[in-house]
Amino acid sequence: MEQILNFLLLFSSVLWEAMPFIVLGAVIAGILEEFLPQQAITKVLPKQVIPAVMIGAVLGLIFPMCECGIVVVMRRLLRKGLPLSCCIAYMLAGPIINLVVILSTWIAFAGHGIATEVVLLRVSMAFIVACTTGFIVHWQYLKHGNALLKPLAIPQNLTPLPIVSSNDGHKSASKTSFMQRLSNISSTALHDFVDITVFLILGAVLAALAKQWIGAREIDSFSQEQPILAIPAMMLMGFLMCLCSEADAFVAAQFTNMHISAKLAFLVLGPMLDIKLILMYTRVFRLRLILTIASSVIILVLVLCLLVHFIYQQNNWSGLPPVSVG
Amino acid sequence: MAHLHFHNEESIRNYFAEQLLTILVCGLFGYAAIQMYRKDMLGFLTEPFRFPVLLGGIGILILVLVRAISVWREAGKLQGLIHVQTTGCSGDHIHTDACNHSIGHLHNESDHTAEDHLHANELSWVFARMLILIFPVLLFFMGLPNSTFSMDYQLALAYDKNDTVLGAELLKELAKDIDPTKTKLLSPLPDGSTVRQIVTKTGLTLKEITPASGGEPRYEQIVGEGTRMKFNDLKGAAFDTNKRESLQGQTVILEGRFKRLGDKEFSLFRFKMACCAADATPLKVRIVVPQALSNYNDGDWVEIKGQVQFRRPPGQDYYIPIIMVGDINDIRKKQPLNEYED
Repeated sequence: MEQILNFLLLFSSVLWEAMPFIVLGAVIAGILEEFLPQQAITKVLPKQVIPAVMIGAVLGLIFPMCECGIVVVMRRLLRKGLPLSCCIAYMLAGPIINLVVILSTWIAFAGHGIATEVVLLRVSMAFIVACTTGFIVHWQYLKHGNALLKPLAIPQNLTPLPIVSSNDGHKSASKTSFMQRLSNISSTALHDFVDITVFLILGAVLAALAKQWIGAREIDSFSQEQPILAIPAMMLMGFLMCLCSEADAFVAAQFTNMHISAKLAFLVLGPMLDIKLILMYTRVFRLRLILTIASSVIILVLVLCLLVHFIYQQNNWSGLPPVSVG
Repeated sequence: MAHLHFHNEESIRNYFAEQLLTILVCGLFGYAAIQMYRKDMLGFLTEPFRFPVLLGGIGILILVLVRAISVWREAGKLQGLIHVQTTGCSGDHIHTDACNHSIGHLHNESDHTAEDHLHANELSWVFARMLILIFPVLLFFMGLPNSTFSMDYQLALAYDKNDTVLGAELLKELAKDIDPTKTKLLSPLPDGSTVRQIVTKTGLTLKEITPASGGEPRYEQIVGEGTRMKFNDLKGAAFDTNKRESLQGQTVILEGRFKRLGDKEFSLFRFKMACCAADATPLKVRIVVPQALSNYNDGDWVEIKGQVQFRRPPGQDYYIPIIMVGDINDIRKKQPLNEYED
């Protein structure tokens, strides 16, 4: 009985922490669906893949969203014709490369004296991982096309008829009343809210079950003995804990004795891939694409964190909060 | 473009059943969110995450309200039509939205296009989703969850195999290394023992009582008034040389849960959340007392007063905060505080 109560507490904290941001994401999704003309973004974006993906990765600076809300918004953007590679880059990097998260990361580590390096490394790693994954997905999209996506995420008007559709858009825009627009927004928003929240709940159940079996302290003491193995261990933690990207820096900062490379593994992987996100991804992508994203993110984060660890060792930088040395 | 088209009466019924169910369940969900905020049931989230729950709940209720009005109007327009192939009822959203539900299919989605309509098994998928969505709402009506973990779980979290007992001789050991400039001679005891006030290198203020006959001196602490401290500040100071130096020797008052380590030694702990209970970690301070304690159980809320020290546990390369209690009367049971420190 006590275990059930503990489980419910863990479950509720993951759920209610994320819920407001899903609502926000759903409302934005509803507004985008209603007001953003089809293919409008594609006109603004550069045609080449590389700059387009890079812009996607820093889109979070303009549209800040944390990782729960971003899946909902991204799906609507995808429908509106934003290229898949670009969407993936936005979805992966958006929860890290935005001012709110950058600020919260900085505050979390300010007391430890390593705020600047953590923020810089976190942002640049997120950028690299998101862009690379975006390119890989682009290449896969060329091969498989929309078969990678769930029907709801497939862009509409695959054969755009510019004149007709803009005409149509004009006519209907003048015709639709305010009440009608509101009704449309609420319809999309509510639909998306239900769709994603259901999977958030399932993800929170799994996360709460997993959390009962692992202890943060085991990993902390383990990481002192095996700094290299701490990187995959922290990646696993990030995957299992399902924390909001706005708050996870505070959790990472609690691992005072841990090398910066392992903290980064937690901070970069967590917002891109965790139990609840995987379940939410199933509402947008098909299995093949989820596997591509997951393996790309995992491998890249691992390699980059090992690289950071190696560079720190080469230069004899401690990679620990300087205070714990005294 | 704007059309709401159904093949038969059953799809209409399914469409409205689904809409009404969504409105009902989401409405309850939003109500639960608002009530959880109002009834202070969000103790498992840190302060900055509670207000958004209220906003989220209000947001859902607004969406539900707008949705309810438009479904009501659609229903009115559809009234009387039996075999509907009708167009122009209420804008294209209905079309997209109603059709979107075909996406809800768990199997064989590929052969459904956006033109698909609600089937009976889609309605059952809708029911399944609503059942999942209603789960947290049911928890709310049952008054769950509690904001704290069970005692066993808390104690298990607070347990650490590295928590080795520092030993009863700690005071004598610290007294070996004193700062001679701060030593003061106090008036001798009636039995002729000489009494000195000494301050150790670690800032601990002690009374050294040496019997007139010579032999081993004994030590008592000179404990001042004391200021209230937070676990987090003590824990934070342990990692900072400057803060350690400025804090050590100060008299502090601390309140937390009791976890016995030895006869004269226990941990005082309290939890801290970074964002929610899922990441709660125990903050611990080691308490060393002069006499054996008996009437406290693990998990009791106690308040203690003593002088702060920082020390490396044997075989570790970090410091832990210690509070040296001078007198067991400086320990007493207290009313429970909020489980989580601010």
